[in-house]
Amino acid sequence: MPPLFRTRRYLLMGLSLWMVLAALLESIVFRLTSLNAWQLALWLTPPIIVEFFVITANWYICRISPLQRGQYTRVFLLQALAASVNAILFLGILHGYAWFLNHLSDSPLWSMEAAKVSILLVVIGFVLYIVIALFHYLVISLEDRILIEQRLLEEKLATVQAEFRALRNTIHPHFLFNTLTALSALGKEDFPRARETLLNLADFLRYSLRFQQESNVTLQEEIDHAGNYLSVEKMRLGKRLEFSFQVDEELTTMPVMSLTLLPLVENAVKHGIQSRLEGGTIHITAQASGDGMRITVNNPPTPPDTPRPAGEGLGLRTLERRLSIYYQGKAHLQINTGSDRFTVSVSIPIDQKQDRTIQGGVHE
Amino acid sequence: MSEQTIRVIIADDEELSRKALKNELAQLPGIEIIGECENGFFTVKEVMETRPDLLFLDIQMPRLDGFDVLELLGAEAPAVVFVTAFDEYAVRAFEARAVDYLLKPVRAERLKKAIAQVRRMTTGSGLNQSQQHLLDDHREKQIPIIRILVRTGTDVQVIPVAEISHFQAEDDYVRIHTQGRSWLKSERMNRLEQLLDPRLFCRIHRSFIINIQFLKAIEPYSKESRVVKLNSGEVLPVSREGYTRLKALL
Repeated sequence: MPPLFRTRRYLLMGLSLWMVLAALLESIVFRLTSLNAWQLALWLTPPIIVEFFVITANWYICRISPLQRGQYTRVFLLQALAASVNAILFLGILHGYAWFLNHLSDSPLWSMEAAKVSILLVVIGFVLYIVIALFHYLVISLEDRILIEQRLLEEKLATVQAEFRALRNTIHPHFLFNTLTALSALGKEDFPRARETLLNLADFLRYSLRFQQESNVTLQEEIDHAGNYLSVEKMRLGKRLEFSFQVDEELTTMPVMSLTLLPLVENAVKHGIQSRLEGGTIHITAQASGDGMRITVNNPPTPPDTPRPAGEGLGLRTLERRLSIYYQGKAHLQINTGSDRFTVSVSIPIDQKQDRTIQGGVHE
Repeated sequence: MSEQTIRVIIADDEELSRKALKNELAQLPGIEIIGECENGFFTVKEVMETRPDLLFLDIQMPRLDGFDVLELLGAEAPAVVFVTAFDEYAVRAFEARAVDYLLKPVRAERLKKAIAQVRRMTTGSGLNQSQQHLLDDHREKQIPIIRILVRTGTDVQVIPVAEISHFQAEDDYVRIHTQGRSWLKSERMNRLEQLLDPRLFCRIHRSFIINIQFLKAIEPYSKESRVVKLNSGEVLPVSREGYTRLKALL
């Protein structure tokens, strides 16, 4: 909508300004014609009000032809054409209305006087139109800037929120307290294994606490992290949890967003193992694919008659959100619900620049 | 049961978690552990068969969680102490008439207190129906429900609602009909109606709720009344309100 029509206040301000311009115009025309003030007001006021609405419609022309680099000539020609049309229309209305007044008053006075100022009216119609067009472009550029700033802020906020959520979800209290309970029992009967699990837990916690949304880690670090997590869960779940890793050797040094793999594995343990009486096996693979890599976590499905807990799928949704921000829409998370397996794949691009620095480091 | 031996069952899907509790219980006098259960099905069976005085019940278990087990045991539940790793369930556990709840890992002193609490009680904590409904109302159940749990003696049956053709009121019970079988469950029709998917289930009569997937025909019975025929051949009465509801649904 044209800016002047957006609120009643703007409209009143616009109309007042317009009335001032109309008064100015009338005082000029007053000097050039023999019409008296009343006749002049009678003749000029209605067309000027119509012109106000015609001219504000220029907003739509400005909207469809924004001022962009390389488009200046086109925009200028378009606006000049519109201004000319407007000027001729303005003149046409004034003459038509004068003709109408001639008939009403039964005298050729109006048309005769109108003919004296035709050129002036055309010029004024043209200039006013251009001034309004400039005003509209000014408004558009201000609004665009506000919009851009708003979008930047929203993006920033989304990043912070995603980071917060990921951070908060890094260490689940259930996992932690169940693990501590299991350790308290294991310590008594199998001290070396308890100690081993404790060390895995320590590494797991250290990595989780180091987490930052912006940070880059290597795939190997992510694999180790998931491995620590799984071996701790294995202590609790025993035979119910089996797992395997299959990772392309050359991918291990590649950079990935930190905490990409863990949410996938946690999801697999929660829904594919803990929800099942008999448990199952989780397969984790990482393969080169196109310009990037694909990480896949595959587990048995949740029994179909299990009620869905509140907040289900939050982990995967958060991961998807973080991926889309971090990889700017170039990463994809795909969920595949089969009748006998549940698979989540994450495809991420490999940033060539970051890749080289890390590879360089390895070769030296 | 002031100084009598308390017979205990521990239900937890994690072996080490059961061991942790067993280790602590072993330190206390007058406790006999008569069973360990690794899932809800075994727990219901074991409790019904051995009738323990006290059940330590983990809340998070596969397929049937602690609340499901309590619901299934109903009035026959012994004294229950909930055990959970994180206290988000604690309030609900108390409302479910648990004697106490413990947070894992369990401290010896805290366990002693819970046992003392059990000793003070003269009877078990078996649920009456209104308490059980209180329990259900406080659970974050997925509504509409997708399954119904039924216990027959020591056996637990999980019935997906999609397989149920209709429900029939029988005093304080509801008879659940699937193709070729039926079960009784202590439940109220009104509550059941609220839990079921209103796009699939219709209360056609004070005593009947049908699954419209199993509806074969609606036929006039007398001048004013109608009946429905189900795929199984069963014929059920339709009340006037029931007919209005059924028409709206179809």
